Amino acid sequence: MKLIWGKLFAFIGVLLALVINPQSVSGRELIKIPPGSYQSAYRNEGDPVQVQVDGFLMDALPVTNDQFFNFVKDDQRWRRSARNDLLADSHYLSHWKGDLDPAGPNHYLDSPVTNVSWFAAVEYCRSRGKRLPTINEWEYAASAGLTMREGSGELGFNQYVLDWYSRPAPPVLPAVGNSAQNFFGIGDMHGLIWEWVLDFNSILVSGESRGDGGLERELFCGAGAIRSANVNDYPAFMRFGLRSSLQARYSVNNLGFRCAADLLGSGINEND
Amino acid sequence: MKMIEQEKFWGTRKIWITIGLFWMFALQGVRAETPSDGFEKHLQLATMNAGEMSHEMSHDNHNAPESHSPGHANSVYQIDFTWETQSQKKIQSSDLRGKFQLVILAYTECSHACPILVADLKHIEGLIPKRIQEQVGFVFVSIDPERDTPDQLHQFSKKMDLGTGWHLLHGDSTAVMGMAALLGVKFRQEPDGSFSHSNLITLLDPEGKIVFRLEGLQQNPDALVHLIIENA
Amino acid sequence: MKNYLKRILLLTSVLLFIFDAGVLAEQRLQVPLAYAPDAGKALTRSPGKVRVDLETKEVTGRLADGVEYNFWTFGGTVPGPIIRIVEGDEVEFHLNNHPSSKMPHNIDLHAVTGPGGGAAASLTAPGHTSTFSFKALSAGLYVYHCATAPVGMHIANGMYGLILVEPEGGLPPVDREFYVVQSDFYTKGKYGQEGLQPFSMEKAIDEHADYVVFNGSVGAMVGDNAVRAKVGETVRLFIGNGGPNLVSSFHVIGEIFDTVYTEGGILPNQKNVQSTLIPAGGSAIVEFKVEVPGTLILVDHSIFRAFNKGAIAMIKVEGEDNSTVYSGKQADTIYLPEGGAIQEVLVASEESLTPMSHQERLSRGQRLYEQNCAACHQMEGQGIVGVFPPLASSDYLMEDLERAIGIVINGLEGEIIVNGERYNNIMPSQRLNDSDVANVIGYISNAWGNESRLYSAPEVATIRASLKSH
Repeated sequence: MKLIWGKLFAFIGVLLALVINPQSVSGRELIKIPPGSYQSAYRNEGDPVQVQVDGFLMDALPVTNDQFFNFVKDDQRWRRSARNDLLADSHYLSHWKGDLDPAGPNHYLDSPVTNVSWFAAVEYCRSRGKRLPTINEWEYAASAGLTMREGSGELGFNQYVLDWYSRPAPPVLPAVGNSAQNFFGIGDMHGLIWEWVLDFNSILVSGESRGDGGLERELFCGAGAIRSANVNDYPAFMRFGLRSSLQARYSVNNLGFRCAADLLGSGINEND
Repeated sequence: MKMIEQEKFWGTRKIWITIGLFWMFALQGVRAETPSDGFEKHLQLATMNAGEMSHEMSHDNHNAPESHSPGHANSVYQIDFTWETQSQKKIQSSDLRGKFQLVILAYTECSHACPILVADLKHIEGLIPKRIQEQVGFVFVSIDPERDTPDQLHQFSKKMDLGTGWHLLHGDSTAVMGMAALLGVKFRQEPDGSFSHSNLITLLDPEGKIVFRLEGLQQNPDALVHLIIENA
Repeated sequence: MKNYLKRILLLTSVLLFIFDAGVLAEQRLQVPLAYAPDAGKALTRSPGKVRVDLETKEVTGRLADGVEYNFWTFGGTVPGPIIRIVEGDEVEFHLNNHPSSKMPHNIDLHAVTGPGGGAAASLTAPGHTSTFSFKALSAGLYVYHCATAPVGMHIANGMYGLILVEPEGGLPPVDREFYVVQSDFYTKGKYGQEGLQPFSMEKAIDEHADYVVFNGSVGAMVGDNAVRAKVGETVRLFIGNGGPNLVSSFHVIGEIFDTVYTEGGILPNQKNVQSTLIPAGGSAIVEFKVEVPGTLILVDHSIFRAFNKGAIAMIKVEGEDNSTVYSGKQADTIYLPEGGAIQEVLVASEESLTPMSHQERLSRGQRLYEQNCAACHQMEGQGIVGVFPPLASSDYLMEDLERAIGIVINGLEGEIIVNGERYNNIMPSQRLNDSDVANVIGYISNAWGNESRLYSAPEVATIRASLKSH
């Protein structure tokens, strides 16, 4: 009986959190993520199932169009008209009305900025004294549920995450901060956009997912076989798939980013 | 008088028209025999249409060695990283300008693919005609800067019998990551300290633009070599 | 003399420049794409260098009446277009992922010999293009589909189509060719539940399909969307099965396949076949000559899929009767009288909440009529003299529509007289909900010369309740 009540409360908690608890957290806030571990969707043979992650700092919310505008205002090399084709492809900031006009019909100013390349994201974070999160950091932060440390243990969590992939793109990309924060205090990890990570190009899968059970020795030199550790984690497969399809200069209409920082000695620049 | 002038007029032109028609038919035959379109076209496009390419090409089927450039027409040397070579000389990326460069990202401790990748490069080196050897260089960027110190790189180049056309580069993690991002190389460090990385040979033209990507081990380098010879 | 030489050299270099520029232009033939049920044109050319451009796009569209689904597609449709090339073609394949896509996509063409069938080479982020080349080594009818992880989800959302590699010289000529693909869909809600339905991974894993359809939606090739042929013509169907899960027992009601290319191979290896198996991720080619006019009904003969999940398509054959071949008796149809309606819909609990316009109701009524009533009462409501009473200009029908509603609900047996003819047969009760009864009666009473007001669902409910109390 007790078990049922516990699950029921958790379920109601999740529902409430999803439905009536939108919080807008200042995107300037850096959240401290404690050290811990998570189950990666892909891992090498012989690796432990749980991946250990050191503590770090992470933006509570993705970087918005407004914040990115402040960046290009100061650094004209990253304005759309000054685009260097080596560092950003022709989709770069294509949703903005102009070089210094971040508005557009399909987004708000505080929607997450998209159509930015990895180079642009790296440079933005560097200018704020931060950096991009690594895959492990991002996936670890994303594995948290709303009320529990482990999202997979929460009723309705997996379906909620998976549902984003079934929905068509919204006509207007919503603003950040309108979904509940997760257990770590981070928001919008699911259901809004894909996000760049620092080592996006460390995924050695060929895109031929039926063959990705073993490391493709022709294409990749490496120690072991990549295996999927959790066959039910479809959202994670899709994130890995998306990352492996990217090149650093790509700008994609639903791919944005947020910044992270090391716990010690971070020269955080709050002037954006 | 007019009749004679007219004759003269057409006389010369008859000859030109005949020559023109001759070349037209002669070249038809030649054109049909040139190797299939693809890489040459992309080299020309790379030089001509710097801003116009809206096409992105991602990595290709590794059974079809004709690769396409990642789609941008700019020199990778624009991001001018600092490196230290196996001779402990400090250079910038842009110092590689002026020659074709064949670039791989690998590390010396690697037991399986990297020796093959290096062998592949040496094989290509052997296929370059003597007269243009001076115009082709080979670059090995280590993805393991911790262990692959310049000294270690020097030992490695001796072991693999690499000549003067080779630069083995040591850089900090930012430089290595940046180079990987620019060339589209994937790599990762494993918990045991070894690295996994994609097997890729990138050909940069003397300006530093990516003009060919050969993915996989022991691929047929004919198209790549042909490209160098045609444009050296 | 020097002058002459200079001029020759000048002319030669000018000409060379022109021809070099010519090399830049694509010398490849662009392969045209055809969208189901159109099968494109038969090819008679010899093999050569060709180019295919195919776009992946995520599109919200109709899965069934009132039911919307977010499809992931090749070419903007489910199924994707049919690609027709010739054995020996060297294909340069461009896969373009539309910038509005959420997902990366790739393509595995079963016609390709090479890693992943092209999937390894073609993983494409939204807004970008991948290019790879292959040679079509073997003639046959092959499936292509997306193979990005999770593969099942990409296929289940509609990413499949057919590529036909014709033998050199083409297939033997026929009068008509059509392109049909069967597939299964898995939604959170039940069959027919209205609104935008998300994909259900659980049902897909359990292989509990909610919809089994031809050409991507319920009724895609039914009624006005049916394809047409004329009596005496030879018809060839290129049929694919996109899956993701179900195998098809493909049958055309009213026809026997004169020739079957089993599993889409290039050998016409069987004759006189009634139903042929099409594996998931496979295909078949069937040919038959249409001898009599009428409507041929394509089904998956795992029959509940046809009547309860949407696996019905139609070929309307027009022309002269041929009564020695077919007299009009229903003896050889496999429709079971009880099998016509949605079985598990509890009456009155699944009413549609969105009000439909007059025209929408008549359209729905027509659809319902074709699926549930036309088997006996015929497509034009003419019935079969002495066997099934007509509905067109029927005195029995039009003099008491409330009685007609009651008959649809409860069935009818015993002798009746319609337009002066006696009929003594059994009509089974139809398990339709109140609004569907109202809509089908609405259609019947306004088609073929009939005219009447429409009844509402509450009125039907009242009639239903009053019948119960008898």
